[in-house]
Amino acid sequence: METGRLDNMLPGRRYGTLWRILVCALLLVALALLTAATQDSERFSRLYSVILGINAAALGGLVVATGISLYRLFRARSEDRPGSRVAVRLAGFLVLLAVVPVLVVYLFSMHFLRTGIDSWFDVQVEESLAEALELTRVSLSHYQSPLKEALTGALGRRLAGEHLDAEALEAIRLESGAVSVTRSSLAGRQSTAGALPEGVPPPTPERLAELQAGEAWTSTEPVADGLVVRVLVGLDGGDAAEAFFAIPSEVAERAENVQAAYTRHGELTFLQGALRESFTLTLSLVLLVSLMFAVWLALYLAQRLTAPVRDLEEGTRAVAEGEYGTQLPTGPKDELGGLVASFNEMSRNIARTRESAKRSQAMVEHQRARLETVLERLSSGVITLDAGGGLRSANAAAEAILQIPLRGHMEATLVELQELNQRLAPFWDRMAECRTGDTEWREQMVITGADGNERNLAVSGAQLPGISGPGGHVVVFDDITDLLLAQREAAWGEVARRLAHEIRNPLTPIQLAAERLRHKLHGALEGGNQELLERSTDIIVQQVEIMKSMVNAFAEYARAPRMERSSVDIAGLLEEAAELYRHNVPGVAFQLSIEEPLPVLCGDADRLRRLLHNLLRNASDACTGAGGGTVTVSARPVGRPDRRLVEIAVRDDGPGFDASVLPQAFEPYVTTKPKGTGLGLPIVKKIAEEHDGSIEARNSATGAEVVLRLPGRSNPMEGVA
Amino acid sequence: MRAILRFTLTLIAVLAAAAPAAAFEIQRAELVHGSDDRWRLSAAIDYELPPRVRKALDSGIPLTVSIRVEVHQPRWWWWWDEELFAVERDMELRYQPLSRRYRLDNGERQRYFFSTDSMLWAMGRVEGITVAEGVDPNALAGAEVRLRTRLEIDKLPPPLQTSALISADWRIGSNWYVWRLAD
Repeated sequence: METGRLDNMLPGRRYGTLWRILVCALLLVALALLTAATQDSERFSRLYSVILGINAAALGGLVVATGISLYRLFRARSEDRPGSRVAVRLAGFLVLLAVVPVLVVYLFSMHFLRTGIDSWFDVQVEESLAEALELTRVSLSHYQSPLKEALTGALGRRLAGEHLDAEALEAIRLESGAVSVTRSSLAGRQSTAGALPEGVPPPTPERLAELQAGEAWTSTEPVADGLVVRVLVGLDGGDAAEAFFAIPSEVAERAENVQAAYTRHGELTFLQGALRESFTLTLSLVLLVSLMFAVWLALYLAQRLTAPVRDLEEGTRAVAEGEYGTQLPTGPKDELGGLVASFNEMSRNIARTRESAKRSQAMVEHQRARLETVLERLSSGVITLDAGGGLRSANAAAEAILQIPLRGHMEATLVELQELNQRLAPFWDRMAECRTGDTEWREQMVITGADGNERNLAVSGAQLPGISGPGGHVVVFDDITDLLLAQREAAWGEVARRLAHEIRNPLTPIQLAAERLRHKLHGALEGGNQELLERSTDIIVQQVEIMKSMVNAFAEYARAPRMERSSVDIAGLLEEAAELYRHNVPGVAFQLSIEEPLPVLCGDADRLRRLLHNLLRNASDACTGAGGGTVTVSARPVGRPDRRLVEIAVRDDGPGFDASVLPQAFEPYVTTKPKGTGLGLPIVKKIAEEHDGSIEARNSATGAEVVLRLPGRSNPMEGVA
Repeated sequence: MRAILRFTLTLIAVLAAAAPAAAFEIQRAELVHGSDDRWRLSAAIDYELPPRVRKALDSGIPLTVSIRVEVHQPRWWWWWDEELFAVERDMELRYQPLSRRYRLDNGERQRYFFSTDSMLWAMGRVEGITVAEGVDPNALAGAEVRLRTRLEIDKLPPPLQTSALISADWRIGSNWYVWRLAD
């Protein structure tokens, strides 16, 4: 990541500084060598060309390095990289600061160099040196004449016809005080007494030829260890005697010094032009090398100094682009370094804050998802409204209970929702009222379902806590229609049980009393009274029978029976029931259609039989009341493979249900039949519910229709066993 | 700045023309195996100095002339020949104004001359420079000997080295004189 890249740059920078210091040291050494060589130092003069070459190479290298640095700097500038403006300006200042003084020093040095070198070559100095040399020569020649006389004297005393043999030469050498005495001819040196100084050329033939007998010629000759005086004296027959005399060392040394000074000056005079050129060259080279080095260093320093600025700018950009937590390499412990440290801390803090914000957001999301899941699985409808009365959320149960697609209308206000569906207008009205009222409320209300049936809702609402002030409303509601129904049924069951109990007890005595009365008074009364008795007791017995059956029916309804479950062939039951009615009810036709295969039911066969009887009797009664008709019974399998149902529909073409009765068709004592107990359908419903089934009554086009759905057993094999 | 330009040009020139202008000429040369088991060089060389160099010598600037002898055994199977040995001998030429003599110093002994020409002539008679000692003559059989003599620019005073780099006057030397020893 970004942080890593910046961190990696650190060691590079440190080594960069190190190796620049090294280069600087090397350059200084090279320049020092060059200066030493230029100044005719013995040790370096031999390496002059090499050192010059090294310096030239260094210069070339510096030019290349500077060029690269410059190119980088200007490329960064043209690409408008972070910190490049500051770097360019800083580099400009530094270069200016380096170049100007160096140039000034260079110009002055150049001037001094020229005038300085010229001042060495004073004409007077040259002349006096020449004079000094001449003076030395003269003084040496003065020194030579006594030696000449000594030699000629010694020779003269020996020359009287004597052959100049080795002995004679040695004698002459000792007498004259010479170092060596040699007899030379045109053919060369013949014989020598003493040690002949090395390297001195023999006298030239011309010299020998010129030399007359007895004539002497002297000269000063250089030898390896100083100077000697040579005296040539002509002998008879063209030969010559050559003698060398030592010169006192103090004279010789001084003469040597004069000669050295003269030579040195002569050398310098000859080198005047070359010296100036080579000094100029050296100076220029030194200048250029220093200058290029300064420029190179200036560029480097500019980049180095602006590095924190560049890093800061890059880091700021990175943070602005969302890369929180970007860390910059920490620089030196100065103000810029402090700034970088502060930036790093700020960046870290931002990253941390963002991280925790993210975490809490994720937690909120998580909570929300959980809440939503819980709400979705809730059987109660939950609706939330925002502070402005707009719909914020609604769960599946809310949609199911209200039977409208609420979730397609998020943000809709209550008024809009009201317009959407007039059926629920009272509901929304009530909600709007309550919303503006108490913070917490609870009540029961009645709405109209999509099928037109009334539904009872238990609604409660509460204000939600907001960030400031009220923050909307939550409304929770349950469909308690079924609950109310069940309550009512339970109440009826209780009534029926008590009624049956209270009424059944006196019925038998009443019946027995009436029968006894008839029996006792039979024949005791005459005429009309007898008839009255007979009729009255008949009525009593008959009515008591009716009441008994009624009471039994009540008892039946109220009894909490035990189910005797087994596999039931519902098709067989249907056929049996239809067969019974088909023959016993005149004027009514029974049609049975069964769509095979019907799932096997698990239930109580007696009760199911009774259920069918009740349904068929109701239908046939309806038809009989209308003066005949047709009852259609159809059975077919419905439902999913894992939950199979049998749907049994019983239709008649009678008058149908009375509209006022229909909603309470399955409640006890609701009947339109003159002789009905009003318990037929309630019992049907009860049996259906005992079998986990459902029942529904409605009016079809021709008459009444009751649809019964019973679940098949989950595993058919179980029933067989 | 002009100096720099000249310097640069000279560098190029030096690199381009490494061989010096031939002002010295080797007439004859041979290696003689002496009875004392020493190999000695004997040669006749014509030395001549340009006026500018003569003037420098007369002004008191010492000159160094080197003689280099290399003995190679040719190798047909390799790019370079095997160098058996190489000897370089320096001679210093110097003018002594007091006695008006020219001094020739070959490192072992000094000789003095009245004139430049006599000195150069004496320089050209190379006799008895010991090149090798105790080397088996069989090892040298068929060897290639190369001889070269030249003015040593490195040993000139530094200021002159700069101009010597620039001027051809100072690049004086002979070509390689090559011969083979008898098998």
